[in-house]
Amino acid sequence: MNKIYSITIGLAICLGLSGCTKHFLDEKSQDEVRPSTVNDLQELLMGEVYPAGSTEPSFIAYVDLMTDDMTSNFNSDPGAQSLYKVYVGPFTWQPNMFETMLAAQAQVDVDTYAHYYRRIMGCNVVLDNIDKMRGDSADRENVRGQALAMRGYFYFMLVNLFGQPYNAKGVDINTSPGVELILSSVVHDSYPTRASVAGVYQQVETDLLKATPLLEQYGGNNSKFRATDMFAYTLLSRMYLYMEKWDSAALFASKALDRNSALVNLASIAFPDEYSIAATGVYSINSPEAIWLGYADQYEYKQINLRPYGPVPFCVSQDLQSKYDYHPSTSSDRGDLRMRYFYTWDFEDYNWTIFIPLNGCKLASSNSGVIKGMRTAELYLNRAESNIQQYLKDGDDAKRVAALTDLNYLRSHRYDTRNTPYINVDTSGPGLLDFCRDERRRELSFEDHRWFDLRRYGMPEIHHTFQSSASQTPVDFVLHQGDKRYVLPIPLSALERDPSLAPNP
Amino acid sequence: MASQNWVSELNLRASYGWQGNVAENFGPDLIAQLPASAVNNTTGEFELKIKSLPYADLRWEKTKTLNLGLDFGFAKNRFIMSVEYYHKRTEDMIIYKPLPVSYGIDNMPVNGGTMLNQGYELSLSGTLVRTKDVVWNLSLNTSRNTNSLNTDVATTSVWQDAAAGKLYKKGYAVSSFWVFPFAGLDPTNGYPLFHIPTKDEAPNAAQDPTQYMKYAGRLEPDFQAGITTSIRYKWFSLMSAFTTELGGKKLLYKMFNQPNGALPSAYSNMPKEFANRWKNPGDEKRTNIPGIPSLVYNPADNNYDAPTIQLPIALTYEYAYDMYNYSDSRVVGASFLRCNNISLSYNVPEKMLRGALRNVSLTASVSNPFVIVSKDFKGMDPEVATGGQPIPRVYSAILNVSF
Repeated sequence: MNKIYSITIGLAICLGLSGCTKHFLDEKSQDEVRPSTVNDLQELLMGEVYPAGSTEPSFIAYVDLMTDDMTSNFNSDPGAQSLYKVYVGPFTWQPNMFETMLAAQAQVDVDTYAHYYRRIMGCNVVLDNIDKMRGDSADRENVRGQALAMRGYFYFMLVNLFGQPYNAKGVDINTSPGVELILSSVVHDSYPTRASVAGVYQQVETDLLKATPLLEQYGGNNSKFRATDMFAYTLLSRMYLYMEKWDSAALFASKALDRNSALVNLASIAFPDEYSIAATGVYSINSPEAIWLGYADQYEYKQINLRPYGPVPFCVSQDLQSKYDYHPSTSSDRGDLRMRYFYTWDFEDYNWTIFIPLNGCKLASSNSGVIKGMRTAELYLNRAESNIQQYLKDGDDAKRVAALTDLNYLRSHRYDTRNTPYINVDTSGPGLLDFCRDERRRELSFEDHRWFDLRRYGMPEIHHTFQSSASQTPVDFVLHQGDKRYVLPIPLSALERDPSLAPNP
Repeated sequence: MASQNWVSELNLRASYGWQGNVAENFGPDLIAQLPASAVNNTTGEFELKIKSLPYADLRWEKTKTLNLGLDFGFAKNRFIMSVEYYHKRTEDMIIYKPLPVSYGIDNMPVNGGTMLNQGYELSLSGTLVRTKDVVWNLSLNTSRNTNSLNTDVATTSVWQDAAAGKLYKKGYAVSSFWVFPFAGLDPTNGYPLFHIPTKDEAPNAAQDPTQYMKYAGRLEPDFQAGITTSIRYKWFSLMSAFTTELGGKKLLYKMFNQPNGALPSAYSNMPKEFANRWKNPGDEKRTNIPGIPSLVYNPADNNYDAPTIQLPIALTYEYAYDMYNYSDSRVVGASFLRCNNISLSYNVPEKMLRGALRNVSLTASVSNPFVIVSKDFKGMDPEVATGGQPIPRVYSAILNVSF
């Protein structure tokens, strides 16, 4: 008996000790986790996919310099010289613009191409793993919907930066190269090649149409920093507009406006008192018209704002300034308030006399907030443009009236209506389309729309005059109509890593 | 064995080992990491970052090691030979394969390589002459280590690595290096010219710099050894030590060492041979040293740049003067025989010592007295010519007295 007792006790001690030691010595990382719940993947979306508040919130903070919204002045100050080095590539549409920006050690988004793909990888990881996670099925479908919608968004941006416009004349979008479609997080040895423009659009449409019902049903509580059904509607409306599918573009704009038609009334926001800062408003966290508080912060183009003494090296073009019916000297009725509220201004001469807009910025409510994304104003403009295109085609006057109603409604929230009521605009014929396009430019400037809009308007000719040294005469750089440089070059860093990646001509 | 007397010692050693290594940083599961600040200040939401993707098919790294040793002693150990050899082979080595940008991550680990390390060490020593008055000892040791990486994964696409011997290419020994083929000087301005193939001749140049560079040899020598010898004649002894390397090539120092291919600064030291540079048209027939560059206006970036030459890669230009630093006109044979030390000493015979004196000796020695190198160095100190500091020559005389 004694023997049996001692053996049992011995065994018990052994088992007990080993039980303890196992837990005690178990290696556990303090900061690494193996994602196992749906919520973990939601956090992964926040960390890897959504750009807001991340260390690299911007993607293309040079594209506005390629449009007709910006102009350049000569300044011999060394500060201006370094600024010219940073932006000369995009401003003069150089085929090696990514390399010149890199060489200038610019604090701008030189790695646009890789950046979008890093975020797409985040979407793919979430989509590949979501079905293996524990959790509520409503949350699961919400996460899936967000990942699909965001992947659609990133591919939409990529194909419009690095591929021909969907509606380009004389281009077969079924063969014209878009970007590589990577739809799985599994990496392998093969070198991906570029899918066609139509193929990428097809994928974007598929992702968005798959995401829409999921977000409608399960994404109701998503904050404006996440993708929602409103996000999907807006992007679908924008995509169909680019594809010139006017009724679909109008349909999705209406779908979204039925849910939220609010606009910020700029006249109710105090006139910015600090002389240089834009007004807080449409992208602030409580803005009723914000749909997606998406990306970019106020430090975009900051080197342009921190300008040297003397003439401003880059500023908003005269052409764009002249589009605004803004008269600041009449303080009782300043007219179109967007010219002041949506731009960062400064004095050109340090004598406090010549006050000019440097660049556009829809300032967020806090310094860390995002300044770009999606808002209902775009929906009004998308719907108006679709209606006008249909009116111009078949002369349906109801479409013309509907378009003018949308445009006037938007404009009435942008004019100084404190003392003077807004006067409705009434016009018809092709002039209405020009008016709508100008309105789109006024409203959405510096929100990464203009470049893409110019592309789908038939890629018009643009002139940029540029001078960088005192001995040099100003050079007139021309982006010709339909120029191949309306498609950005694939960066050398990407071509080097993939021999089967076709460069842009 | 006992019946013979010419082999006095014979030892043989051998060992073999097998080892496996797990790649600890990767696993078959997705690993996420908490960022430094778990809550995003802007969105107010919790965040996770991806640490590593799931890699389901990674295998262990396997290492096999063989060691062999052999000691010989002849004629009552008057001659001794010792050989050591090792052979270490690592299979399924985990290497990071660079990925196309569109995969969204920089590289992935693959069991893609086989690394072979091997080497031998041989030492010989013997007493060639042993008489009452004269003893002559000679010893030699030589060793060689090689490691080669056998993989289909391209190791580098950067020409600077190829010029530094860091590019591993199948069929070429480790430490092979490549340089730009020099094509003389431009008769109009004295700029260096190179035989750079066109894009069609070198279609894969972006991945493989050897397509537009020329094989220049190996940086490592074929043979290197240390030799020491000592001769004693009565109370005098003479000792000397040599090192030698045979085979192998080197690049001379960078003649144009300014960043961005800029002009040599007024403060920088230029070598004597720079005086012999190209100055006027016609000089290209007698010299290979390019003239002083002048900056050219580059309309693309609105800058004044040093002259550049396009590589057969889209949009890739290199400074011509930097390429000259890495051209075959700067490659020299690196074989040498260096005498490290010679010393002559005289020991005062004991019978001449008086009183408390136990030992008195007088030594005169010189270190680094001479070196024999290839004539490519044009009389320059080989250390300086390859970018190092000169080894000084030191004379010393020593009087040693012990009580």
